[in-house]
Amino acid sequence: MDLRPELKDYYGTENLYDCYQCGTCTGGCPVHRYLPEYNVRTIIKDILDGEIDLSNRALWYCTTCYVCYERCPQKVKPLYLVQAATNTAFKKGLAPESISEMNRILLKCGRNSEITSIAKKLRKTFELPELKEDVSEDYKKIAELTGFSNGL
Amino acid sequence: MSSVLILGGGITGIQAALNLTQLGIETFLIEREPELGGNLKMLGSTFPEGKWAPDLIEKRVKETTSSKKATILVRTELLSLAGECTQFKASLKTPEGTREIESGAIILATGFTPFNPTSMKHYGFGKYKDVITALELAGMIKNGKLVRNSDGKEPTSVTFIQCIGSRDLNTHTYCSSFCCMYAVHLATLIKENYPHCMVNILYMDIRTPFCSELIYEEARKRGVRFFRSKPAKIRASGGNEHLTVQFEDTLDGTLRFLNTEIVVLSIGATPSEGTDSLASLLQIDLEESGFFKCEQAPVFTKAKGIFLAGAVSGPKDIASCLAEGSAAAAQAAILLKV
Repeated sequence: MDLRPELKDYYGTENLYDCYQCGTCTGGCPVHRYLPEYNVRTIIKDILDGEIDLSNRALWYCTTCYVCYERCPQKVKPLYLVQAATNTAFKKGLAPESISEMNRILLKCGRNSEITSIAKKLRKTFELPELKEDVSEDYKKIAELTGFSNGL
Repeated sequence: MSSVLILGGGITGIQAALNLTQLGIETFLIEREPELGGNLKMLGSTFPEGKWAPDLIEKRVKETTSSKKATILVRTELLSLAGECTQFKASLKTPEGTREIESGAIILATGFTPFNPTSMKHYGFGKYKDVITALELAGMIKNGKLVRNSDGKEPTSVTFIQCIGSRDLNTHTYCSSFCCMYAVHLATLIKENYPHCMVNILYMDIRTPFCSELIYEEARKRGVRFFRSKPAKIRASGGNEHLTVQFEDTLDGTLRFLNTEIVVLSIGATPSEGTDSLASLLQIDLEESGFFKCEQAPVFTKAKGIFLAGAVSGPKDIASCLAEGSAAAAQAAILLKV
């Protein structure tokens, strides 16, 4: 799909077309090294071409380490472009199931995994305080104000 | 008839001085370094035809000095300038003390300063001995001794990285225009003199316009390998002696780890040191890039009687510098004779 109109709010479109596809981002990407299907440069190219495939699972492999952001010679902020793609994918319901699930759990208990009975037992063994099962009102408010309740 | 003051004793200033003296005009050529020749004096064979840099300089200097019309002052800088076109009064700082001269016109030929790549930490310049600048490599080739700084051995592979300090918002946004040409020229020279040495050039775009395309073709024919990429990182192992260039080959999208014995950074041009203060002294505008602003191409400034020549208004190759040196000399001569 064409993501360019959505980028305006998220990102500002000033530098977008400065990308000259030099490959500095992908060359230094720690994820690409082990998962070649995640290629920041081609993701940017697809976004600029208006042909990004938001159902591509590889979009979610980014670890947000900011190496591409730091080294980009054209300050295109590759990381933010990838995030814009994942955010839109999430809103459109195109995120992988594991991501939607994680979002649901985060909203429910404020953690990215549910509190299991094993965890409870372990905490008792180490004399750690019990965990609260539900999230505070403040947390809910923050989630709403930041838009986290509706997306990422 | 009054004289012409030329600031900068590189190839451009020398050419202007030569032409002016040939026209019978008294000329002062001042240079802040102890020797004439500027950046060119560090080079040997130059692109595209392989002309020998020291010859280019010496021939012209000899001819200029043989004329009684030329005064060459080294270790000399401009302190202040008063008066106006055809009646400038310049105060010079020479090793012997301050010297006042009168001149009708001024030619700025202060050239450029090579980019210092120390700020680009991911390439390890200054940290790894075998990551060198193209200027150092040119010096090695000039002396006929291409060796690794780390162990003094002849390398079996050399890798150039293009656009260092050029086309990069973190350093300089402009293209330095000559790096592609000197890189393919140096690469060809290495292939010629060390046929077993593997030579790679990592480029974003190869810019070898007009006849320079032929030296690019020659380099390819000789087996220089070209990869389209700006490398992400240079790693080193074994006491920093084994270099690996990490990059994405953007033509096929694969990640490559290229082992190489020498990495050459193809550094671009930056405004000559002291350009800012010279600009405010002469009240001439600078471009956003930091080079002098040309009001009417190629040699005019907004100040009447002050001309620009060569790399002072932006990175240029030798041929263009010579042409502009002559052009500025002609304009100064026209002004003074009218």
